[in-house]
Amino acid sequence: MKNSQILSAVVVSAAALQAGATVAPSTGAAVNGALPAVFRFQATGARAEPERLVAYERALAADTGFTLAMRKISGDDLGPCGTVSGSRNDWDDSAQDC
Amino acid sequence: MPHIAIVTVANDIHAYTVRKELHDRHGATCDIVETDQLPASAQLSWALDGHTAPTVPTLAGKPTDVRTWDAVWYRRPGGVSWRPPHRPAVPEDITDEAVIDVIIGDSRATFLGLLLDSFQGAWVSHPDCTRSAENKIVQLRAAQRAGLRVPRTLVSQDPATIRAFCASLDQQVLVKTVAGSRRAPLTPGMVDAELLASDRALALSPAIYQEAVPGTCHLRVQAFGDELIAVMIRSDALDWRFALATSTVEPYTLSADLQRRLRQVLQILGLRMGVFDIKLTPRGEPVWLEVNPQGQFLFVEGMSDTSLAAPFADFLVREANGPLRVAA
Repeated sequence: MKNSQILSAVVVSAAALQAGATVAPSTGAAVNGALPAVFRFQATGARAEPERLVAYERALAADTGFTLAMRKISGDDLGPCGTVSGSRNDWDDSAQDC
Repeated sequence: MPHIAIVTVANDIHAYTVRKELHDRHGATCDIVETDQLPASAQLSWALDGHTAPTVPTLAGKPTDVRTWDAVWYRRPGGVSWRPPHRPAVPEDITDEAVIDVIIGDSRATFLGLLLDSFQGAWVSHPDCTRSAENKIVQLRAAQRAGLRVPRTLVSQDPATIRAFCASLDQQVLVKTVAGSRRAPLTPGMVDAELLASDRALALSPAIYQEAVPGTCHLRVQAFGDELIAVMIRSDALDWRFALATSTVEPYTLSADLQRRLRQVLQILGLRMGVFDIKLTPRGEPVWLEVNPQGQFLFVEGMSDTSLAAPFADFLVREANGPLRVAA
């Protein structure tokens, strides 16, 4: 996965760099009222994905033709692959706007 | 051989994986429709008199008559791309927001209308049911009706009502989004005095305020029709999605009673599939959190020895061949 960084026990997914993993209350705008309450809890930084999951996604991509499709679309080695997020933009469990 | 369509957005590894399983296990034909690629595709057509076939673009590059499909996996229909700006792709030379709005809106409406009118196979799941079931208020009520234990929940933007609710639970309350946004990775969090003191933060937008459920054991239950495949995710984190690296995933056997109630939730919501999030209390009691009508499931396969892609492909074929299928 392009831009990924191997850590001791985990792999930080490039797909998650915008999404982040550290969840902590902010002391900023959501508290002073500039933002809705739910904005107090935003993930920041990188989400760490287990090596096993990353290896699975790589194998799956190669096995299903997904890698080739990614090259066609973006030129990425694997691109915004993800069994959780499908993207560089956080978890996606929703059909959204259906 | 069944002919199945997967309605999703570009770059969806779930779609590629299930398409391969459909082919390898069943010899089924599978079209992938990328709903974020509909604008400017030049392949959407429908005619009232029926002289023009109702067609949509597919990943294979040619327009396909939707009347040839036996089942549709209605996975990501809105064309909300996984890449910024999180909307269907329009030609780069189109920059006027009003023009973009018309192109996207008319593409989306044509696609949905065409399917609702001309597709005659099995939906997984029907658009109306999917849209309704996505709503957290609707699904909370469905879970309650099915007899599941549901945490005490308030959805409100009234500061006084929110404060009273939180006080009644000794502030052991989570706040989380009702719908959320692709543009902001928001997670549930515990309310505290500082947050509750801000009238404006509470009033700006309704949010879900929910009794916190203790425990570190979470169930992820994949419902493919009547088949339920469950795993337990052990995580100390409030939201295990952001703690996968420190979580473990293992197969889990649901009680007959919980199975019955989860199937009942699907029935109430009119869904053919769903991915449930349940939390176990320290005493092992299952507590409802939510159902994702089109939830992600392959990460479970990747983090455990639980097979899901193959059972899901089998399920789609059963749906395609099932009694709901109306001959074209």
